[in-house]
Amino acid sequence: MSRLNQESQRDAPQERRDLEKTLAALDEREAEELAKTWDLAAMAADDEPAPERIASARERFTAALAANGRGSETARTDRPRRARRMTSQRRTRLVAAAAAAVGLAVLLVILWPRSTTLTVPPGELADVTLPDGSRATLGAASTLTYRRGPLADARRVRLDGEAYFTIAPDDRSFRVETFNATVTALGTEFNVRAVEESGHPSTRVALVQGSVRVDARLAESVRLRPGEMTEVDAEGRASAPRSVPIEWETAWLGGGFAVVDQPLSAAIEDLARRFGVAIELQAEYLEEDTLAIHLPDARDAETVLADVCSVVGCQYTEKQDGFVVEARP
Amino acid sequence: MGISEAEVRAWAGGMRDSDPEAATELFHAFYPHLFRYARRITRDEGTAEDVVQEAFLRLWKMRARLDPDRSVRALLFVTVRNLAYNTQDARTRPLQGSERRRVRDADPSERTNTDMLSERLKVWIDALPDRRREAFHLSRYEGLSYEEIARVMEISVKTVENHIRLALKDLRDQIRNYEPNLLKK
Repeated sequence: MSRLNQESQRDAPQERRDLEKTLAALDEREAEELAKTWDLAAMAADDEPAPERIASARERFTAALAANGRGSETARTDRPRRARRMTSQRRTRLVAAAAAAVGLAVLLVILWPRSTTLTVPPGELADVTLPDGSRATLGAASTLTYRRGPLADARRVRLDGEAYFTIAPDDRSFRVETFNATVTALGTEFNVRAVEESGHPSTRVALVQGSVRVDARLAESVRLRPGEMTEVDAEGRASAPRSVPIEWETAWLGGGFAVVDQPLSAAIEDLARRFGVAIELQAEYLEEDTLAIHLPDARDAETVLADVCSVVGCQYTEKQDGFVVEARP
Repeated sequence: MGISEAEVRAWAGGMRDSDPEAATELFHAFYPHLFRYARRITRDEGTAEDVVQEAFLRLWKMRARLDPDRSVRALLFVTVRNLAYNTQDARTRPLQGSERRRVRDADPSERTNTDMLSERLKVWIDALPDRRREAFHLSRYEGLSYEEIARVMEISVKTVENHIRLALKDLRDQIRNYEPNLLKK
């Protein structure tokens, strides 16, 4: 977490620098509370225009520029040249591919990439350095698969569960594949949480720094800016980017537990996965109650349950392999 | 939010040299922010869209006089603000945007929806006095510095700071009432 804080301070946008000045004049406790308030307010941002609206507005603007002279000239002279370059490029690529195919067949046998799978047990975290120098912190009950070897695409991994990526800069983009989405990044830090086995199967992507693109089956590409999150549902629909308190999204990195406006059933499921315990929710009418909670220090499932119950109004009892949660009478 | 000063300066420089690519990049980066700002004032998406288009076209027409060292960000917001307040929509519809949300808030059958922290925060922010809400929005969501907000709203930097501090205190009190745990370290 301290790593995150340092970086967010160095790259603090202007408005955050101004805020620091305002807070510096207040006593420590108040400053802390107002800073938290500022972070929480991220959730209340107005909806951004839909990607299609932005695209069509951009087209309209480009057309207006062209109609205003100057703009059209450059565009017109550029186009044929670019087209010619592309065809010759394609021809070279074809020839090269044919020649390479023969040699490759032989090489493939010797150099076939070996797949590496890393699984983190419940209640733990693991730091991994990937073949291309990128780093990942893998969350509890999560699996990361990547390939090693001279022929392996070192910029592609597969994730089931949660991981925080710090991508090594490179000309090639870095891809994280999940069961329903692909996250593409260039020199950046982001959090991905992909859970398929769940009552709410989804991939959540939250961006801390740089920029990423998220592709899903039924959606146009979604581009995130720092501080934004998108969620891809089971059918492959991606939500419009939404601002989130980023330290909540990455709370697990520092051993914390956070739920940002999620139904109780999803939070309980999350908790069970994280600590590898069974938690049975026996309070149907509570299931869809939404919950916002942030615990910086989540030692075990029970600590979190106690806090969740104090907020939602439930009670829990321990049984041999986990807990039962009920509505408080 | 994530638009750096260096980027803006580079695009503004490009625009001054009549580079349409630079203008388009600038448009793409600021569109979501300016659109939201215009929509808050006009309360209509179509009008907001027209206002933002017009603001960028005006910027393009005056590109020779652009000074990349003066905040182009502030200039864009000033232009959008003036254009938006001059539209029919802004004049006929009340600025106070909170009525709809307040009604919903009072309806117990929608409890789960309004129970969401994000919905609550929206209601609380909407309930702030108009000028304070405007300053807070520009600072928190649209990435403007106090100095830029002062220029856009034609008030002093000190007043901007007061608005932001009071807005945060007000929201803090609401959050404390709602769930004090949220403010814990």
